Amino acid sequence: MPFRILVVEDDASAAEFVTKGLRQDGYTVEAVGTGPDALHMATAEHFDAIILDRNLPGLDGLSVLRALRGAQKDTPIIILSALAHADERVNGLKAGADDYLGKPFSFSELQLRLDNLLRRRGGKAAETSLACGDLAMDLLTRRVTRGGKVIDLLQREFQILEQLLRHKDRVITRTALLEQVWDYRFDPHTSLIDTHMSRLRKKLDDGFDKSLLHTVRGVGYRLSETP
Amino acid sequence: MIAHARPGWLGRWGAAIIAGMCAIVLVACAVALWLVDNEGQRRISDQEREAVSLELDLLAQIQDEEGDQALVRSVERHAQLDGSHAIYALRDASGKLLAGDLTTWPAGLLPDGGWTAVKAEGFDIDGVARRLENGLELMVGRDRSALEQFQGRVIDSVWLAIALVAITCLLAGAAVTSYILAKVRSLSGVAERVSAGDFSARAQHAGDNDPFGQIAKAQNLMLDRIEDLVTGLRTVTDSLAHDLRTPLARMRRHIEDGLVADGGEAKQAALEAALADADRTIGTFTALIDIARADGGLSREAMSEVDLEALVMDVQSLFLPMAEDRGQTLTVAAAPAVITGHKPLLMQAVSNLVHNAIKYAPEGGRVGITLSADGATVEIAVSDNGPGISADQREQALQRFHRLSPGDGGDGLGLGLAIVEACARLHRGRLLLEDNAPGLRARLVLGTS
Repeated sequence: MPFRILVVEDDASAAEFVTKGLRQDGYTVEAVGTGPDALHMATAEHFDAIILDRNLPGLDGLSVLRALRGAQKDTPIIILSALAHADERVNGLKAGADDYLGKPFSFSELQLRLDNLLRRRGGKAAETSLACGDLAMDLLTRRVTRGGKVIDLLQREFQILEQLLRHKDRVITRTALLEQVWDYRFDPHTSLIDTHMSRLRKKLDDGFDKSLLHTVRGVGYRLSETP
Repeated sequence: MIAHARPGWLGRWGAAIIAGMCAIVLVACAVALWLVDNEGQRRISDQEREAVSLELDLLAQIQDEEGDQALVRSVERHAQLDGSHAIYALRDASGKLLAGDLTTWPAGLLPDGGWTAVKAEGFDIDGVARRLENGLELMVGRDRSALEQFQGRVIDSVWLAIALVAITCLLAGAAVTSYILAKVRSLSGVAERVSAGDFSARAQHAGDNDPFGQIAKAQNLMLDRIEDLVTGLRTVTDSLAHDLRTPLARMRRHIEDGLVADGGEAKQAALEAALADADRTIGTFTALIDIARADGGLSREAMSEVDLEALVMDVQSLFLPMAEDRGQTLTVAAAPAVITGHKPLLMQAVSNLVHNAIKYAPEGGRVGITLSADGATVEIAVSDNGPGISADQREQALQRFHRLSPGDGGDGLGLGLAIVEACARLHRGRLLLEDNAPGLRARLVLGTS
């Protein structure tokens, strides 16, 4: 059964952008535009995750969030807000959000965060290995092989590759990589992440006919068997 | 802007205060004087009466010892010597006056009848009469008008004294009030100039000892802060207008190009370029907000314990590939240091310093990060062996949006060092740019609490 997502957003074009994207990814999506509607929907029906705006008519997003947490609703919630500063992020997380994404955002970043959230909350047994084509990562022994050949990776390179493998076939932005691997949120210079990626690419793809690590121009990176 | 008329020398307010004070003082003086007058009158008449009865005793004794003739002479002498203040009258049993100031015995005055006020021959007498031996009767009295005249003179001089004191008080009051008003007017004048838009207006103050000096000093500190914030806001607004317009205009052009382009590849390239411009605009915007929030002290709420040693190691791991690509070494010498700080801003600040160092150090050069603590402060220093910044350009380098060389396009947003400086201010520290001989040494000094 597909995941059910509630999108709470009062700006119609932003709501459509998110809703359309999520439906394309195979999620079932409900959208509401006001705080009271959001509170009503979220308590009356089951959702696997909620994407919540902060500036809402009727009742603001943080109040909706606090009300839900106060009512013992632990549905995973990602706040999506134009209040994008790091300090506002702290406020959002303190109020009980599971993640916080500032507007303007790239859709691939929302996908990544939603993926991570659903995986964490999914209750699935933790994966012990990841793979893409002939590339394999053993999460227990921290060994990476391609075509049976061991690839030596530094700790950060291992973490980058883990993120790429977990979101195989999807685009990961540079900002998202910086956040997932270094746990820092700021606007990295394009060239900064690129230097890490070119090293990783050298280790992964050199000597193989088919390259797995693709640069998506202007956006980020994608690990995939298909170019 | 508050419109108001220029007040006169003291202003209506000052004059009213002085007039009120004078009225209160005058009423108090009048009451005091009335009390003194009453009390004085009572005491004086008590004394007079005592003197009169002593005189009667004395004259009675003279009659006893020396006979009636001696008494008559004594009374005559007393009456002559004492002038008009004391009034004497002596009569025999037949009622004939033997000696004294009067020609007839005052009507209504009875011997041994106690003190009696009588009028006789133009005198206003307060007198007492005693029956002596041989049927003689003696009256001794005091002329009240003389007493009242004396009292009048005393009261007049007291009023004169009060008038002198009052005039002195008036002048002193006027002086103090005009001093206070001048000080208040100078303070409010500064506030008015500021509200009219002149943020450089400052109050004059000589020292901290005078209370007005303390107010002026506090007001000036507040105005310094306001000026900083307003200047910051203006710079941000100007910068927004200037530095966001450029990428927005370029983005617009790229989108237009994309719309009219033939073929997927050209459209793709235009889209990518527009996206890069959008990211750049967002980056500039975020940086400006970071600076504004840090300068406004808003980021203080988000402070927590930050392990700086781990932070500089993270920065090293982040930038090592970039440095190595340029054949540079990136070394870290860090002592353990944990402070209460704003982690994202600190990370960004150190990253900016390291990124600059890598950019300006030559191929094969050296970039070093050191972290040291000395109790009250923690210092993160980033040094390179590049061309450095000449002493006269260092101040400029810290200004928002300043680019050292006009040709330095790339992704140098010109905000890098301004963010570091805002970060330093937020942590009650400072950013120092020094000569590394050769190269630049940027020292980010942070307060530990």
